[in-house]
Amino acid sequence: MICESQKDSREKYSLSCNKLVLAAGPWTPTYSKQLFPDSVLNLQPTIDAGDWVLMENSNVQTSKTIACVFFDDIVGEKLYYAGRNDETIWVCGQRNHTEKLLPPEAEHEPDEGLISRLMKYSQGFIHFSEDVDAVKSSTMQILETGRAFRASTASGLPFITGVPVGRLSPLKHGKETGVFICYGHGSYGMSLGMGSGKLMAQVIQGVEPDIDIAKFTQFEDLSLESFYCV
Amino acid sequence: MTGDSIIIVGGGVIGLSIAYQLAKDCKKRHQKPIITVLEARPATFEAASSHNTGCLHYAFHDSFGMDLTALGRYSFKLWEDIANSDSRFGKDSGYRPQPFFPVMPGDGEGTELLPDWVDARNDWDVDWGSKGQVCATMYVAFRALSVPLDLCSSCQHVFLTPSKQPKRSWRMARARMPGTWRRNTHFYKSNGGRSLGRNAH
Repeated sequence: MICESQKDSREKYSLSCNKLVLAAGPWTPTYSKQLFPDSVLNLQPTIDAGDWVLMENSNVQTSKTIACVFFDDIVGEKLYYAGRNDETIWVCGQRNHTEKLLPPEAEHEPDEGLISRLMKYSQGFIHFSEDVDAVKSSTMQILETGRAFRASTASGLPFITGVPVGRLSPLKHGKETGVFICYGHGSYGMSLGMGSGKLMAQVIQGVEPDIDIAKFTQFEDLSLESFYCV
Repeated sequence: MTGDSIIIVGGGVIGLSIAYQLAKDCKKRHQKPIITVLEARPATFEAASSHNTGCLHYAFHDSFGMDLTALGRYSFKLWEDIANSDSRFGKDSGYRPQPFFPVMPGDGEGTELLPDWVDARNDWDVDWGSKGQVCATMYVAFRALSVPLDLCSSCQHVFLTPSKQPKRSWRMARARMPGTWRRNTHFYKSNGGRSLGRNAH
């Protein structure tokens, strides 16, 4: 496999491996095509973007600080906040289904209008501690804004699977490729992440997965035994 | 698995969870594969939406939600087990069960449950019960799951994009994982320190 550094240099490095796992979120289809141009993988990608704002939480940390608060029914659109244990509050709004996926190394600039709306909502919903309350609107401390892409599949179900030989190259036949894909968790990456990680690890090791993963091995003619690496 | 060289492309929650579980299993079996996680960004989790929310649940309301429930419950339990079995992880990640608070028009019922950072109003209700039973949250991204790679003898995490400036995410990426780690865990940066080019061949 050839890995190319993305920015300052154009050096290429060769890394050898006998097992390769593609788990690069929305960029997984791109990488699979780059690495295996003859592959006939159909990952059915659908992408949406979420713009977010990270602001300072000026309130004293309590046992209630870490929380997710959903305002969808108040504002009539998707709006949710997450208070974290590092004196910050994160907010995200509606999904954007039209934004184009940029390369992973690119800076993903959020939509200015949406960010402004999130900040306006925050001025109304977020409490600031007394010392900054007097100038509330001008003292909301924005630490960072950004955009995240979420990759799903057409079915909504992720892939947690090995890739059969016939999918990497239609001309080759055999039992195993040593290539695995864990992709398409949509907005449930965190919720499903640790479980998907463990199941993927079990598949890689050739042991029976803890739960039935047949729904997550969506390639036709796929049988688990064909790609177990013993 | 000993002697295997496994490359995982992607240093987000999925890639790192795979690396973590692989390393954990291999340690248990006294196997020593080389596990390498490749990340195009200068730090882990930078591209993830959930590096900010950290919401965990298995109440999926999509049309395909039923097909995800078993996986969701399984994954939820694993997160819970990690948080409960490693107090440092639980503390660092801020793991908290049942922290979801949907707000809707009402007459103030349940608003006392809201965190202090919300300007609660008396014309809101909080319908905690609709999501409260099957959820948790953690700020897992930078603190708790960045480098799961000490558990087997030879692991590495490779950043393909140079860091621009020292960032919180970069520092956090060195934080602790459940169990012991650091030994034989190597970071590579293209703009200093040990470069991928000098060490990967």
